[in-house]
Amino acid sequence: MQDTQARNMNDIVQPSAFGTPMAARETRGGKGLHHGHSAHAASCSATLRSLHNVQAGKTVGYELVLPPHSPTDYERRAIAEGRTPLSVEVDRQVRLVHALRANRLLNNGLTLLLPIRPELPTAQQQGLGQLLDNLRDCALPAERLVLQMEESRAIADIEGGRQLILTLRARGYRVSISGFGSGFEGLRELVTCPPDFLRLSPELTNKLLSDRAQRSVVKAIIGVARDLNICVVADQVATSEAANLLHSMGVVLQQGPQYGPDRVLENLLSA
Amino acid sequence: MPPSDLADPILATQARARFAFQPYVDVVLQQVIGHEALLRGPLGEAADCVLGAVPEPDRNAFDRLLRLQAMQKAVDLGIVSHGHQLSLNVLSTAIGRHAEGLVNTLEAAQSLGIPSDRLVLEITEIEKVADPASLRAVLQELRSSGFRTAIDDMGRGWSNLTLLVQLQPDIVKLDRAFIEDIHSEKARHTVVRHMKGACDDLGCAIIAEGVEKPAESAALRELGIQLQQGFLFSRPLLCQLNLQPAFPQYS
Repeated sequence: MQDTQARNMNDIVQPSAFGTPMAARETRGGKGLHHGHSAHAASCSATLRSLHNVQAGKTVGYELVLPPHSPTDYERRAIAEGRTPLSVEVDRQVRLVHALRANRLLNNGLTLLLPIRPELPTAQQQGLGQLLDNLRDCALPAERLVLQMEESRAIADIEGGRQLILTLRARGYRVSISGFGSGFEGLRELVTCPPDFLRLSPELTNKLLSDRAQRSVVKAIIGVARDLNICVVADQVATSEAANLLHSMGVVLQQGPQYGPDRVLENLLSA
Repeated sequence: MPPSDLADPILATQARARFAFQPYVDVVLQQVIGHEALLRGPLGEAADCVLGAVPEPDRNAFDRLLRLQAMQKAVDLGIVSHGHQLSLNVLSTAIGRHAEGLVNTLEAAQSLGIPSDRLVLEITEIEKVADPASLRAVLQELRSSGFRTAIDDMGRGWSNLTLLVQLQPDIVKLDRAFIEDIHSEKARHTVVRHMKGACDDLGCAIIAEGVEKPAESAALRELGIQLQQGFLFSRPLLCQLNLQPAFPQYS
């Protein structure tokens, strides 16, 4: 399993692994997607943030960014019908993934970073089964889904989080910890059950060009990640100078305004 | 809130509280550097049992009284004459929103004859630091007065890497989760090795916590971490300073 995971990570990091990204060409005229915000989109307000490989100079995936949960009419109906919050939340994500596929946004081998809330499945055994069932419903190969947990959420229950990561990996999914470095017990998680991806907290990189302390700590994180075969992702990269510095430090995967605005999804939940 | 404003039951809890002292040592020089004061109940119960009996609004005033009590006890046990440091745990809110309590602590240290460079204030990890900028400003002021600052249990709870960048204390105490079996656990060894590099860059000393095995101590020493604390050297002793902890023989 580890060899397979290492190969899959290389697929994202290695510049030669992908053909021409379709994102830019398809999304500009794509149905249901546009750049920037609109009042209409606010009802859905999920966005897509590109995952850029700076070495290859192209998009290799997307992160599905969900706002703090605010139920749509569909979800209110589902909850009123007696379904669990987890079931409703994951179902919502599956619907988004289907919408992305329908819009051909996940063609060409692009990877999707999908947020999950580990406290939901680990809180109840039935929840984990639901999560796995729903992920299967995405009809996306497991190796192209990266399940992403917030550091502060992932680690609150160390043993539960560890079991969740092991279960997901056994099914071929890869796991990412986001907001790494500014949450709860993230460093401890690295020695308990290392994830496949580690997304640096923007609080650790927002002054990287001028703050020596940030550079020292980020350098240490990159070193740990390299030795433990974890991919580092930098988020909210805003300038080419910051992008170049991070690249020179070994961070090949980057996200943020430097790589274009987030794309707002609209109407995908109202179908 | 002055101490006298605390309700009688809380003052009674404080009066029953005791302190255990655990030394931290330099394994290269084979000598004691200082002692951490650990809160205990009247029967030696853990700190949580004592603090849990105090309502949250009174926690900082209670914490301040305990610091005074710990300093007085350490002085009575001769910590000043031995030239050792005294480490006190401090809630981050005690430095931020209740800085006057800390000033009170520092004044008390001076009146007890504890030299400023021998008092270490350890920020505990149980709370998320709400205002790191003001916390850092207070810590810098403390350091300019000669006092030392530390982040306790780094890597555990809210003692995260962002806090390290924001505070840049004199000392980083690495949580025992990274120390246990470090000689045989690759991931722990890797994390500690890179943390050492970052702390060297930042000018922070590292104290490894929870050292229990000679092999752990040796691995840490090889990484250049010579300040260590744990059962290998001494358990915390109730109302005593251990001036002659055990040192392993390194091959």
